Amino acid sequence: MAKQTGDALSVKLNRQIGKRNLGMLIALGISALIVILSLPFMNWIRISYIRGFAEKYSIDLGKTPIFPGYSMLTFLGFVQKTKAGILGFPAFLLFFAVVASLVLHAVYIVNLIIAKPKRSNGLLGIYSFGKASNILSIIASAGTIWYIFFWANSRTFPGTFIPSPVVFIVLVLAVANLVIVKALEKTELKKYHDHGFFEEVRRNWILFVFLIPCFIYFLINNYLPMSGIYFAFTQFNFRDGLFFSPFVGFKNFEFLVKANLWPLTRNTILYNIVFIGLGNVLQIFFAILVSQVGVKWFKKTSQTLIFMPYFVSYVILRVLVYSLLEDKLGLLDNLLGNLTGKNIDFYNTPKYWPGLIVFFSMWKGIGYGMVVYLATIMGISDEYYEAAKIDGANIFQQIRFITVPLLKPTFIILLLYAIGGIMRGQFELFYQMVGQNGILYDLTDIIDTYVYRVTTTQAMSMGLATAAGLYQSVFGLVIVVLTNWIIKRRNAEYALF
Amino acid sequence: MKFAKKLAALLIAAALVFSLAACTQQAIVETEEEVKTTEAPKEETTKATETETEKADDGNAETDAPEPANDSDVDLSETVNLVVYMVGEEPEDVDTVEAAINEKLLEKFNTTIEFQFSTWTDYKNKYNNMLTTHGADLAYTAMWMDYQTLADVGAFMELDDLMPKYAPELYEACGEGALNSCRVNGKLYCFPNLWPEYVNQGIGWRHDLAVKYNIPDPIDSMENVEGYFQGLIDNGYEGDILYNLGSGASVGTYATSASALLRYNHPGKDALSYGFMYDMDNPRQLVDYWHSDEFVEDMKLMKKWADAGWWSRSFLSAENDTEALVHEKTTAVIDGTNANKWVSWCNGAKSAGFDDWEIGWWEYANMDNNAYPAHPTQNATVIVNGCKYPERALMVVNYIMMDKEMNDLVQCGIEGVHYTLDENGFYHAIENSGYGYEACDTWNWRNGDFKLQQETDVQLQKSFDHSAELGSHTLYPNVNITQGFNESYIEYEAERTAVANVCDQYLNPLFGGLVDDVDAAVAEFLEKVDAAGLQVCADAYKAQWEAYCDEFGYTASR
Amino acid sequence: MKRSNEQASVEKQLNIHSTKIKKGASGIAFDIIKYGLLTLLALICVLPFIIIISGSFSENQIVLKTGYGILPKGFNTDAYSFIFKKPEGILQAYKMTTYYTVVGTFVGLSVTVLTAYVISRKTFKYRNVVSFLIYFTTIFGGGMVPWYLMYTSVLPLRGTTFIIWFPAILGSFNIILMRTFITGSVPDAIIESAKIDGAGEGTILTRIVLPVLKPGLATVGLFLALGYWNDWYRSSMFATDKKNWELQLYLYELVNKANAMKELVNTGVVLNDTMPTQTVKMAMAVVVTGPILLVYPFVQRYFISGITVGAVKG
Repeated sequence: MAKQTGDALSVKLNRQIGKRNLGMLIALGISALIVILSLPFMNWIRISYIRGFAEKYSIDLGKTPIFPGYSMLTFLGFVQKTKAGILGFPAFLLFFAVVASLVLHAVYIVNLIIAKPKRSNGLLGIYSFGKASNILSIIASAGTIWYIFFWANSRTFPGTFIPSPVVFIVLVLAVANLVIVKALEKTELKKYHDHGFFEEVRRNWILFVFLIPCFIYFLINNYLPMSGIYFAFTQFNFRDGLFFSPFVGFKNFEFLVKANLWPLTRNTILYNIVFIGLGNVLQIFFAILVSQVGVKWFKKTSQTLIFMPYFVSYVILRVLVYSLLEDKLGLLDNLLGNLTGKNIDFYNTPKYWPGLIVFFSMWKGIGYGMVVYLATIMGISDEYYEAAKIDGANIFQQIRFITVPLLKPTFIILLLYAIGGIMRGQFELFYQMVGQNGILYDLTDIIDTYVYRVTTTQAMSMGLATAAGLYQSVFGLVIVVLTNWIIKRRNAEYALF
Repeated sequence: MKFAKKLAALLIAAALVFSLAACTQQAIVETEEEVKTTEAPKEETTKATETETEKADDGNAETDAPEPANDSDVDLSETVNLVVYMVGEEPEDVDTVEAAINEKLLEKFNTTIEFQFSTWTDYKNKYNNMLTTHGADLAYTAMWMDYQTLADVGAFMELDDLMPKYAPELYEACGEGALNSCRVNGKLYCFPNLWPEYVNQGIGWRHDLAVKYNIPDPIDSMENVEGYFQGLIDNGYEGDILYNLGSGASVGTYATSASALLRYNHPGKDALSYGFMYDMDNPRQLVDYWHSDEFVEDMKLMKKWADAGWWSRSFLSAENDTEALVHEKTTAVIDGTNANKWVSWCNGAKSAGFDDWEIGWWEYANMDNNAYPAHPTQNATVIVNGCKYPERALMVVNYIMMDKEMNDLVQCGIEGVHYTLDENGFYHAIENSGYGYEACDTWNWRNGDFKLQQETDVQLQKSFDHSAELGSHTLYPNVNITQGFNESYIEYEAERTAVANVCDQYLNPLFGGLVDDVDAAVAEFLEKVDAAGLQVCADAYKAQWEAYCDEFGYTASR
Repeated sequence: MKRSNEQASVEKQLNIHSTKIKKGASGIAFDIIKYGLLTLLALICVLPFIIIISGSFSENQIVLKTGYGILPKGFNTDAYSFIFKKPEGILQAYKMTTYYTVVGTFVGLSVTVLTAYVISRKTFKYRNVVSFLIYFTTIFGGGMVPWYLMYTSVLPLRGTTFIIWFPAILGSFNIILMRTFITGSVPDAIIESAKIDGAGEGTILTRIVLPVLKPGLATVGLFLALGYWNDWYRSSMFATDKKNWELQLYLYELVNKANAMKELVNTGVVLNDTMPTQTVKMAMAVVVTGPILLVYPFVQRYFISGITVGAVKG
């Protein structure tokens, strides 16, 4: 019965009107309406009995004016103003739900206006945006209603908050819009022999079972703890606890801006570019060399020896470097001093340090990094080389036209991982090599060492550390998504996701 | 398909079995350990009672805190286990001592305690994690564990009402003065140990070298300081003259340890953050050192010394070595010192075979009487916020600190098993007993009246008496004004970190005498530090300082 | 035994391979380059290790004064006797670290292969979504505190051995790397034809994918094992009992304790237990690295054999 009405609806909605079908036009209208209703000037939360609340949180209404209503996008401002930390965390999540839904609705609307089917999957791409945006709208509006009744009022001052009709309208609209998209999708799925989520589960259930341990692991180890990102926006105290400390907006980010963010960012990125570029070139180069060695003992021994620096911990590296470079007493300082007749004074001359840091980073990482390439080379079928030899290719040509191209997928994966962390420096390396020597900071200070110095001189500076981490993460994500997109356009095989 | 299903099931089962095996593995290890301990009772700590106490702990967690029967009485009908969190490493024989303690505590308060330790690896993070998860009832605290900041953000329980009621003798013994110094924002969050210690800085130097080269000892005046160190160089002493302990407090007035020698130029002044100093005779009045001409002169002096080769030009990156004197890396230690350390250098030199050495000790207070006991929050006890039985915790600590027998047991273990007392009443540890002097790092539970004396304590006590005598001449005798102040910088955090960074980058080289042109470097530093927002910090700091002096009455001058 | 035969045959093949190369002039030039450069690099890499080893056999007092050298200065074994003063402690740490390494690597490798296999399958609709979710964890994190809270308060696992190896079984990088190895060594066509022949996913994974995945397994396994072997952080955070400590923590703690006790102004205790700080640091590196270097050659054999899909076909 339900199926029948569903199908009937699907048929009706798919009636063609010009370039688009009827359902698309309706969806376009509803989405536009949802967007308008979610914008900051539409009140989602009404504040009715403010005096009791103001008294409880000792707010001077004269000094901090409180508006009669807030949208979910502006409500965090209210939380910050009133210092009612207990209201913060769920409001923070809802804020993101609204922002995400807005972005997705916008993409959906633009796609509906263009309405250009893709050759591979028709309108399915557009519809997936429709599903995601409406589901998020449902979460945001229903969540807001829950938040007002079951969180905000019961935990602060009863009767302070009331949901405005706008929220309910958004909820109804989003549900309707979701139904429409589902109905539209049905015909499109049939057309392209594609299927929905549940069908995929039914077909490939073993693969889903395979994923269960991974799912549990990442949920526990990464995704649930990710809620700690919220600490970047709070001023922690033990009385209110981790998630209910006062919300302070972007205050924790100020110290980054104050700290000459540019040189720090520049150093971090430049060092990483050199590490990535030079590191991979050297690793590939030596991996190829090792793989070409025929003498067994030499191959094994050289590989083991090259691996050894990996085991030198950074603490020991510091001792070694200092005993090499120490003024007048260091082995290298001494040697160079005698050769040139001049005092090198490493620890007071910043210009030597980029080179030194890069050298020791390469030295320490080459054996470890080489393993991946070596394993990849070993995975290359001998048939390729045999064929090349029959064609008369010499060893350089074999490397150039067989080995190197086949290392590309591995290289790209390593590259994408490195790029995601381009704003994260190798803290231990820099910290142990440079230490607290301020003279060298101009050319050796990276974000991680700076944040470390700040957070160790200040107790309970979790907010600052999280804020800095978030800055690095957002930057990294943007760059990776861009890079991945470019790679995907050139060769989808190589892309990370 | 069927095979695939089977295989999938098999794989998952294997993974499950493995994780289970991992759990059982632990049990196996434990029993093995137990067997081992019965064979060799001295070796390797095992917590045989661990599972039991844990169970007891779980049981407690489920029940609510008992209401006191009346104002001064606590319902003791239920056995309670209190977790005591100490900073440091677990002594091997903690179980024996714990059992002996608990025997008494059970009888008296129907309570047991269980020590937990942070270990010395990453201890600050772990300590903070413990507080965040309310992982203990009682804990050690100190200034170097950020007591004031943590108290300020509510990590500890307020004791103003509880303490007089449940630990009356201890409250009495601490005294209003010491307790007042423990207050943060007017509220009491900790109580100090009962053994006032003098930890003022001084200079420890190789006196035998002064005798050998016939040069003055580096005490009393700047002339003598130069006479000693320059004298060593001029007389061709081979080896390092001064080994510095890297950079110091990053927003401080004295940036590197080398600058401790500048004290000779500023007798009677104590250094604070942001280049402020104050005169001991007029504490409320702050003096701006960085912007003064004196500062430039001092920096020129530092450069002169550095150029003369008093210290290595790479000292900013050198590793900390607090035993540098004994390692022959320096002829004098000028910073991070105290009488206690001097005693340990003397012993260290002896055990390293330097019998002809004579190590001198001269505290800077000899110059200006600026001596006072360690601040009460140097070694103190807190009740962690979230503790369900604060009354019992206080009663237990009161007993431990105010009862001689119990105090000795906690601090030194069992007589005859862990230590012996000789005919003079001096403490001697029994070797390999697994529980040394203050083995649980319970420095916060010291009581000067009961503390078992070690032989070195005599020497130390002499030095303490001397300090006390010096300190009595100051305007505010025996009060540690500098350390009692706690800067609350949340409002100008961003500026503060920026200033600290500029100090690292521009002030440390100045204090290390590593710049080429002192005047230009000072100008550059001042320009950078002003741009970083020094004024904002300094104004706020000054206001807080003055309020602090007003609150505690440090307003007089002479 | 069987394996070494197999290897020997592969070796022979490789030797033939290289003798063929030597024929041309370019081959000779290449030989000179490769042996020369590799020798140079190996020397640079091993030199500091020689300093470390001789440092560990030096006398602390001399090292403090004059620095390290290529040969031991004032040969003695103080550092090692300090570390092994209580042999049960360090043996227990060795035992536990070995246990964590073996269990963690085995479980980790199994789960990594399972996951990587799924996201390598082209017919799996959500492979990109899952890949992204896995990758995303490397970019965003909530920091140490919520992570600690998760394992201690939400899941009361503090004090178990499980908690010490579990958090490191999976790594986003390892999974994606394994995916690359799978797609690189098993062509789609083979999997598709196997499916048409009626093979299930489990059969494909064990019969077709795993046999040719040896270099990949060795690589990821090596990374996992090294990660476990070098870790100190998890047992520092979660172990409530010294007998569950990892080796690295046991050694760090020796140094940290000595440092902390000396730096604290207020202990009031005179330490009689003087530790040869400098040489102990070096001895620690030897103690930690030694066993791994013994194991490494066994892992290397998987980087030497070039088993390919071609072999499976036949």
